[in-house]
Amino acid sequence: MQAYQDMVFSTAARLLGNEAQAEDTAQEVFLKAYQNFAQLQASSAAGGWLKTVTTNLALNHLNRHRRRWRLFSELRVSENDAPAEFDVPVPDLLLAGIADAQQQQLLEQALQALPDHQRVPLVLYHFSEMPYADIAQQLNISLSKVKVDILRGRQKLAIALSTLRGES
Amino acid sequence: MTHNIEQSESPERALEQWLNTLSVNQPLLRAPAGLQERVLAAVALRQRQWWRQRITDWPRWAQALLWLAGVASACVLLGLPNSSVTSDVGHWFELPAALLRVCVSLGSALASSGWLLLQTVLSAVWLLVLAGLLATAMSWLGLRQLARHAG
Repeated sequence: MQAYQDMVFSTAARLLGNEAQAEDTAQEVFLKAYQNFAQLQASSAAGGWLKTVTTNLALNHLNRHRRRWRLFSELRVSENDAPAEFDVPVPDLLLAGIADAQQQQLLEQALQALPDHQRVPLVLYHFSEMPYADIAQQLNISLSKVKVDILRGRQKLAIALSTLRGES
Repeated sequence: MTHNIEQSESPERALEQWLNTLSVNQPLLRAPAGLQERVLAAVALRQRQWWRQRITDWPRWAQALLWLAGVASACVLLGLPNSSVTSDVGHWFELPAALLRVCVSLGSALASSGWLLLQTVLSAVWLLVLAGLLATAMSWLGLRQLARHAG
């Protein structure tokens, strides 16, 4: 358990954007692992299994709050609309001159500040290396919506990082 | 310091590549110190909740009770097909009760050994149905208890 607890917790925390909920999810994941201990012990893919279960449980948790999710969705323009224009900071300059540890902390804070509908596909794409099509299937939304949400998520993340940098 | 994202494709690509690099280098978050203890406590709690385990792992008294309930249920439905008790139950289980009555009619024509065999099989079916219902109810109650405990 010790070998995987950081991976499970990180996956849940980034998807949920909330550390308390991530801890509950991690606990649920390890309880499931305990129930399947015999199979997992013999398997070399235990890490992958844990990551998949964590992702599914975190997404289930978010789906349980679907009303809130829907509210965010309704704020969006139609999925066929072109992305809105944003003035985003130049990436290379965003975190220039900041120590690695602080950069990492700022990135986690900026991720947590994103709304669910942008953070979830962004995390699945960049941190779980899931292809667009798989994300669309997993979230039960269209491919174009996934792309738009990720694009806007990146833009918002850059802006949030810029703001957080200014504050720190 | 700022780019308009719609001016060209490159700012989007630059942003994507920049985030790719950041995410690859991003270390895992540290799990809270109490996580392991919480998991172990939840596992221990689950082990105490015998009804959430397989029926074969249940305590003897619970298994015996389950058998008794199954046998009693089978007796009610098979042993007293024309009694008022079965008629009342028949309101709840109209189709299965009707089917069982047909079975009973057929069974009465069989030799006593065959009849006993049929009763055993049907009792087992009812036992499984009851076990499923009981296990579901217990599991649901257990989940609520666990959630309360975790809360």
